[in-house]
Amino acid sequence: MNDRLKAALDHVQAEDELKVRTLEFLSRVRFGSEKSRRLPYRRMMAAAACFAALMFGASGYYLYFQPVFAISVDVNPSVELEINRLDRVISAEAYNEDGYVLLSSLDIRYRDYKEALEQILDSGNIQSYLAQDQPVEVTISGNNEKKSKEMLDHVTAYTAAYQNVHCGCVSADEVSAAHASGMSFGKYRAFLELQALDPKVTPADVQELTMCQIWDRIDTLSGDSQGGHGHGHGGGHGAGHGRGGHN
Amino acid sequence: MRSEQETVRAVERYADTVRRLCMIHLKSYHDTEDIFQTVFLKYVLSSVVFENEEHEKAWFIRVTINACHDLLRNFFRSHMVPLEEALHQAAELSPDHSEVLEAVRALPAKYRDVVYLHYYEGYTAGETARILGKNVNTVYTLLTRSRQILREKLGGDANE
Repeated sequence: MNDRLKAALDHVQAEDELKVRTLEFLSRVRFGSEKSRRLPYRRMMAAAACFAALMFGASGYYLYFQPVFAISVDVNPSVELEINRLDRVISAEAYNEDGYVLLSSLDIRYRDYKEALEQILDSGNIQSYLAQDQPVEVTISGNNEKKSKEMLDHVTAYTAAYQNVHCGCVSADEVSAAHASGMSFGKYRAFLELQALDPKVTPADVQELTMCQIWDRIDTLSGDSQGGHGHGHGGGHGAGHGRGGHN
Repeated sequence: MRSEQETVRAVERYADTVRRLCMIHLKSYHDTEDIFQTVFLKYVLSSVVFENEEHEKAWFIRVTINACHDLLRNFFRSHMVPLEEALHQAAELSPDHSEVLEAVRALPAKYRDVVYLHYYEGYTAGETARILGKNVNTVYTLLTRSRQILREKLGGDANE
């Protein structure tokens, strides 16, 4: 076996190319042009690649879970959806008991917001309100006005197929104020309209009211004289809503 | 730092030894290149005074074995290198030589070192123990065990 081993290993010889490359490397070191060994360099590159991948992943995660606009849907159920830049629903929050019941019957997280809106508006819960001719408020709030208007146009066009669905837009400040008073910003917008007519009204007063009841009070206070009645309330709600354009 | 002339002489004289050790330890040609650079750079930067040629050769063997072990200890190296590159020179070797080298390469690293030093370089168990920094009895045990394994794989009398 010794002979076989010797014969086999004797055949293994350093390639001329390998020797030349080693000598070239050593002379680069000698003249200072090789600052670091190839191995550490490769390790450094691997570490840099890992770091870049991590950063890419982290920033991707951040961008994905960063809301760029929100949609509030209010009838009596009050819910708010936060939407990311890919138009995906990243969170859905209920602002009252009915809202909670509504959300628990749906699967809208990470869905496209249009699909989520469709699910909400088609749900038996909302359909029963629409059947009673109660208005559904869809309110948009975005990081910037231009984007909000764009979204409003999309949502308005998208919900045009549904009767009695009204779209509007609010500013970021109003969203903060709404959340501070424990309301969805869609409902808060209606509250602001009511408060403009009746300064004594507080958020607590409207907390338990349905959207229809709030609009009824607004209509009563404004004497229902503004015109632009898009839709009357049936079922004993009396006056129609005077809301031609809330944008 | 050693002179260019000394470096060229060392590469000419020890490249084959380093290459053989790389062959029995490493899976890829890139790693062999890395080991060549590591070993000869160490030589260039080293201020060791060699008493004679034997001393110098033993130094190269020890440094190469250590460098190979360091590389093999690196988890990513030992797991990520493609196996196709394993026997870089396999195509140029006869089937018998390939079989012998494959059998040696299949041994655990500590066996490979004693097999190479004892059977190929002809070092005694005592010299092998000194180069590897091991106990002589350990070297005897490793030699006996590796002889058995090689005999099972290659057949014939491994003592020959």
